Amino acid sequence: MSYIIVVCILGLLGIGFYCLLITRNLLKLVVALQVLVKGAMLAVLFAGCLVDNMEVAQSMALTIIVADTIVAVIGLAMAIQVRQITNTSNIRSISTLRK
Amino acid sequence: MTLIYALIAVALLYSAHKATRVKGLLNAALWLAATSCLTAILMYIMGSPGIAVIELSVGAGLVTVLFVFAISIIGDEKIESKFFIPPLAALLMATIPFIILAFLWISGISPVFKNTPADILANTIWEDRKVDLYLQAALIITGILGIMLLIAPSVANRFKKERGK
Amino acid sequence: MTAILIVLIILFPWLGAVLIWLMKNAQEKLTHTLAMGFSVLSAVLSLVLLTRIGQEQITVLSLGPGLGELSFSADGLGIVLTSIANSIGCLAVIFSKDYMNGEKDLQRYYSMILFFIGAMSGLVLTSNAMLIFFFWEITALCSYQLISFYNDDPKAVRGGLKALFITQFGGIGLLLGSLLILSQTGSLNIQQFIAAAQAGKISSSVLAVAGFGLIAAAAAKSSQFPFFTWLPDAMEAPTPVSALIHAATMVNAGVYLLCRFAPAFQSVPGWNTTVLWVGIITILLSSFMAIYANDLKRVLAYSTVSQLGFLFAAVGAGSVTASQFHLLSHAIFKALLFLCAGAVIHSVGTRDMRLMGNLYKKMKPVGFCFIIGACSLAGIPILNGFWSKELILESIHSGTSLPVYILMLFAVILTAIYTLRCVWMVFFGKEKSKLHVHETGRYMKYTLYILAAGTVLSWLSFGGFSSAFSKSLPLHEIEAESLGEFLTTIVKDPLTYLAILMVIVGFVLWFFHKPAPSKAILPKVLETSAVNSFGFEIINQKIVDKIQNLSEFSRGLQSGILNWNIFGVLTGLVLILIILGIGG
Repeated sequence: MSYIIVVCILGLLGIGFYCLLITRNLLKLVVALQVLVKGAMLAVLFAGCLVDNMEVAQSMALTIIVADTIVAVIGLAMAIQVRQITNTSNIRSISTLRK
Repeated sequence: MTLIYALIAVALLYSAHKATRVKGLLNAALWLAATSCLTAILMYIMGSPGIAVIELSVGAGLVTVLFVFAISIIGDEKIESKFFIPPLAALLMATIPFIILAFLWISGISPVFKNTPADILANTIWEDRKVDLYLQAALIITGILGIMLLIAPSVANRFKKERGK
Repeated sequence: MTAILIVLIILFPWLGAVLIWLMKNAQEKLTHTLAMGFSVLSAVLSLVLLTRIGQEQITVLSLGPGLGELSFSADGLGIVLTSIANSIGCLAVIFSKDYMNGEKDLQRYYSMILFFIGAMSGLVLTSNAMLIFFFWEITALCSYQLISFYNDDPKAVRGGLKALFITQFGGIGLLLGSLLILSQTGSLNIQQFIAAAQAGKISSSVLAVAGFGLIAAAAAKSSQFPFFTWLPDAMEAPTPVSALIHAATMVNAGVYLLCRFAPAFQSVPGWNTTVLWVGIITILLSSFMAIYANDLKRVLAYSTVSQLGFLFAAVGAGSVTASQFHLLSHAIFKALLFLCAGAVIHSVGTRDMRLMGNLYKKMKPVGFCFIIGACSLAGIPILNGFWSKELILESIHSGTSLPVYILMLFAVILTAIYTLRCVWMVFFGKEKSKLHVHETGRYMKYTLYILAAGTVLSWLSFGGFSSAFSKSLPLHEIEAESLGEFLTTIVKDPLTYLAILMVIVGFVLWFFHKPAPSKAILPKVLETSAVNSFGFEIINQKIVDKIQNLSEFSRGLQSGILNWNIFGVLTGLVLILIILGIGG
């Protein structure tokens, strides 16, 4: 049972990081971050089980959910604005925004 | 039981993979919602029903809606430029640390999964982890600003105008 | 009530800073008025706080166990410094009304000053070690911003960067100390830490590391040996800023830190001695540099460094009261001196003393105020500098050995020499060049008069000062002394007259060798090495250059491509895991 969860955590982290490494689309970046954070959240809960301190782990997971959602919102908002300014969603375009 | 858990895990990893690799942003958003649902199920199994429900409603619900909304504004785009990092190097870099981590981790750990009574959780959240609450409040304010940015294309126009000057 | 006052004192100037910052397009007059309004109100608030000195802790916000509390304490040590910061800040802002008239970027100037005032109050009022670090870094940021205020002048930018880099060494020391406190007592509360240290619950080696980390922090912030070269270069800042940040408040933060933590480190061998000798070495080196400097503001900067050395020496000799009382006097008379210097510079348009001379006739009010400040600096009765310096000398005489006391007397002679030299070169002597003297502004004069009155009268507050300290700082074990007792001890003590004699000796020495005081008495080697800051300038400069090169290099790593950043993150992760794998 615990092996399955460890595999899930590591798998999610690996998939998320791989996508972050090769993606060139700003919206895909947000997707990758979402996947990555789900892995991290499972890891926090798993750590809570390990040390038998589930309450703290759960409250931290709650904070992670909030933070993650806000990151998604800001990321999407940024992607939209960047797309409208530069007419592309390539992540390279962000560094050209500097005046 | 273990077989079911293993199936859930496989489904979770498959949908995560699909979410990141599938063509078309709308499909990616749907696969992400599926990933979120499966994560919620795992959380439920690990004894955190409360968090699972929040994850389901926020991760699979709210975020998906936001994605669909964003995609409907700007549409999909195929990016032609080359990879910045060679894919093989990326693959190695994304697997090596987690293989090491797995090697370090899977050496006789077997936690007990049990339900936490709701009142203990509430107590922890409201009393012991106040700093998290303040952080969440700040984050939510940021989120409201983000939503405003999401539905306000005027920022882009103003930026373009200034640049034109 | 006290809690509300404390929060207001910190947040009110910040509110002003934000407001002024946001009103970028406001008229100049409005900016001046707003800044004055906010600073005057916070000064009033800080004076109200003076009535509420007590020893209890005030928790403003609880962050849950593990992170501690946003707690403040309204004890004498903090409140005296808060009122100094706010009152002198208010006077500096009023002075700026004339001094900065017609300058560009006024909102940046005023918002940084107000941001600084709030942070300084927070720094001295909080009783949480991490919050001290937080506010400490904000003051460093404001100081950097204001030194580099004229950012089209490469010298100003360089001076600002130098100040920022050198004071960061202090920041590292403070962070180290705070983390050790956290690891040893499980909380960041300073009072708990001091109590635990006094009860011997903390291992002596940890205590020693924390103690010397804090000395490094204090020496860097207060521009002491071996970090003393940043303060003179910080004189590129507008003069009110020099008066406020680099004479009256921020540079005192180091001394404050030592005073706050002193009871905890009494058992650390060599702690007191180190503080004492850091102070004495600084006094001697900087006094010589002051004797040979020709830039009016640099002379004042060197004298600030040497007076801060007196404060260090007093802490090293074990007298927190003497140190803090001289801090109060010094803040007042040095702010007065700087603001007078500002008025002079504003009027004649140069900082070089060799071009000045015989200005007393042309600007009598300013000259008069400057002379009052200078007399106080030299230690002439009955001005505040005299009383507090006597208190320090007395504590050094009773707390340390005779050679140290003799060195301090020598320092008194040096102080008298450079003070008289500075006054003479600026206000008396022959007129060296035709300088067009502008009229001194109204607001400038008012602030000078207030500070001059403070210089003459502030020593009368000794009774209240002493009782506030002894009542509100139980861990420091300070005995209260009334004004009358204090005066009788000083007047009856024969050593007082010895010190006055030394001041006269200094004056006489200078008068007899007026054209070239040094050449007659002191060897030429001393002059060249003093002009070159005894070699420390080169060392500090090299460190600053190295840091700058390093940052230029690391800028190259920022390609702007996110994929590569993630690649870097993962590389770091691999490294950490390998270390863990080998270590575990």
